[in-house]
Amino acid sequence: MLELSKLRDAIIHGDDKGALEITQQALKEEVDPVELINEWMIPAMDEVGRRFEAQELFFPEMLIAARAMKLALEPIRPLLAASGVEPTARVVIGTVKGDLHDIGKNMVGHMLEGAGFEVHDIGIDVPADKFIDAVKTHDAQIMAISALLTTTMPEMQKILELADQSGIRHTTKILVGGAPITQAFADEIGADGFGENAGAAVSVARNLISDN
Amino acid sequence: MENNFQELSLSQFRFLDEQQLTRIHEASLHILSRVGVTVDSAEALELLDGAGADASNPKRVLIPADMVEKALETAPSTVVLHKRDGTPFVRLTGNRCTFGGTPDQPDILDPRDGKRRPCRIADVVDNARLIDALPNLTWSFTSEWAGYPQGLPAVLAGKVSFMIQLENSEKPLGSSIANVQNLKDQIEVCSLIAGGTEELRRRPFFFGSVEPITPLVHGRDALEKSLILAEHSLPNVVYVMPMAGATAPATFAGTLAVANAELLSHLTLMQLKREGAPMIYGAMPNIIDMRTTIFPYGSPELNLLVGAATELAHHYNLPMLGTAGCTDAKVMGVQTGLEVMAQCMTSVLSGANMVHDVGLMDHATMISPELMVLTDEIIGMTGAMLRRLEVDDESLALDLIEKVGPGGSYLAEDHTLNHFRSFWVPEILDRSMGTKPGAAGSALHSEDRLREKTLKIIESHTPKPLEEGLLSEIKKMEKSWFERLGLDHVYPEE
Repeated sequence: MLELSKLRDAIIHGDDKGALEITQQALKEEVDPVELINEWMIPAMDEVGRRFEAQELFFPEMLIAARAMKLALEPIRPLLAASGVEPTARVVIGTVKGDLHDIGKNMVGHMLEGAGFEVHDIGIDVPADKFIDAVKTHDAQIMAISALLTTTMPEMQKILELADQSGIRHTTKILVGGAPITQAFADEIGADGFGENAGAAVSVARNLISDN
Repeated sequence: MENNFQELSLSQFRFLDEQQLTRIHEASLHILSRVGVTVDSAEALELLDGAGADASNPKRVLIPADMVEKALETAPSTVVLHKRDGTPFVRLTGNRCTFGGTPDQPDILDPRDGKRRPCRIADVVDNARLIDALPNLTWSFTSEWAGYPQGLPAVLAGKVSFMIQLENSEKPLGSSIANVQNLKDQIEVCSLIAGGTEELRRRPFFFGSVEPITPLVHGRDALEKSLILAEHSLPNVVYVMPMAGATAPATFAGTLAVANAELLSHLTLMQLKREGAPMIYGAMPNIIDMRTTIFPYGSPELNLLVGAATELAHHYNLPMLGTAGCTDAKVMGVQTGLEVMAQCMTSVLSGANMVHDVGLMDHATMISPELMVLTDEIIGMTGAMLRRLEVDDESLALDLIEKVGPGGSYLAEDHTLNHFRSFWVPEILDRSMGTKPGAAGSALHSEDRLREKTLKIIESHTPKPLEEGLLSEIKKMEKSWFERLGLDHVYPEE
């Protein structure tokens, strides 16, 4: 009998090949893929997130855990799609117009993927209307907007206003982040969520989805 | 007049030896000729292509070493910043170290109650006056934020910040420049004050700034601004902020090589636009903090890497933009004091010419007027500590030592009277003995004295006003900026 706790451990330790092997073995032994995700994989990333928040893990260690999770999910995704089970949620992520910085956005994207989200990265220097279009195209439940500069963070407000007008706010939650962004700023412009760092962004995204 | 450190030259303090500097330089040339840089501007691509670069792929423009070497020959090694009235004020050259204040950020740590809140127009006025008053802050660098929290559109808020500086401080002024139009408007208003574009070029009190994006990307906005600044031959602070382990290699030599490649390619382009266009080499290489993923303003690695980058800049005879007076802390306390002291020490020891970010807290999201005042004091203290010692007949004072003899006193001697004023006198640090806080004299805690001094300057300092005619002219210009956006020319109230 396959010890599935090894899947959790492999993800926590960022052992991507190990995580993939155990997953493949489990699928061969006809373990329910939803059980694999909910009982072992997501709890593994929760534990990683907890350790990062407690400053027991450094960011690259969290990132390789997310990478292991992503690889282990690969053989599972087609099975889920075939059985009509939705992925956790779809996210459109990008950096606002006028801003070419993408490292923070990439970090959040990787972490969301690691947490099982389907992530559509629409890049940097993205005009407000492109955010809205992408949300519609991908039928995304979350729009995640990044800005690094004080001179570009006002662009977020524009996107929020356009989102209000285009009527996507009741189906799509909007998450903002970036070095100069604060909870107060997020509240002021009417965003649904704010993550102080990539780890926090994941838990905020999860909470937004479960509120739905 | 110019700064506290004119005589300071402690070149025995080195992070990199000549051989290491050469290897980093060669590594940067390798990056430019083999890896390439992204260049997102048609004019820039044309200039580079015409001078021998391989610009066939704008994502990876390859720049040969001889183009870079040629640019290094024509870039000026000295930049003089002037006061608003055209008086030479700050000379950026050699190992001379000067510091500049920051008037605005999204938030402010209010010195009146020690609380954090959004930074508003009235705060930017206070901060401009504070920078005007503090002797060790000799220029100002605005983040373009005044009025944004009060509802002004972002591009207009940037220019309002700029106008507030012009009105409330006569010291040289730089700007983050929100976009190309803002730069044009700012050059127009500065030219008016200077008496023409050519006068402004000859006696600049304005400097621009642009940021390439690490790794190895020159974005359109930065390039367009740089080309305009080069065309006018106005000082341009080009600065990069690589994060070792995230946007650059986790090893420091590799991070320096990437940053240097970005700056050398930008310099090459500026010299192609106009030979002799002044560039300040702005490198702020740092680590990414792997626990929080922030760019830590107080890290020891920032001091190490900015110090090393200063040596690279000086290796090329270029003025250097340094970094000090900033902290990751959110309150005025232990962390703030020690991080800022370390930065000021390194800046002066390595001779960074134009040290920016004084007053920033919480990784550049909050400005603290008190931190500007404290840093002013720390700069004074650092200057006093790193003085070159004089050893001559007068300072050895053998005649006096003989006169006083064993067991005598020097206190009432003329020699003492003539020389004791070279001792540095703190204004904020508390040296009193005793346990009576609040008693006459100085038995207040340094934190109380800091707050008192800050508020006193804000409430009492009157900057030299702009000439009445000029003021109304520039106000007319500002009015046209408001009207362009369909707005009445009024600053929003609280």
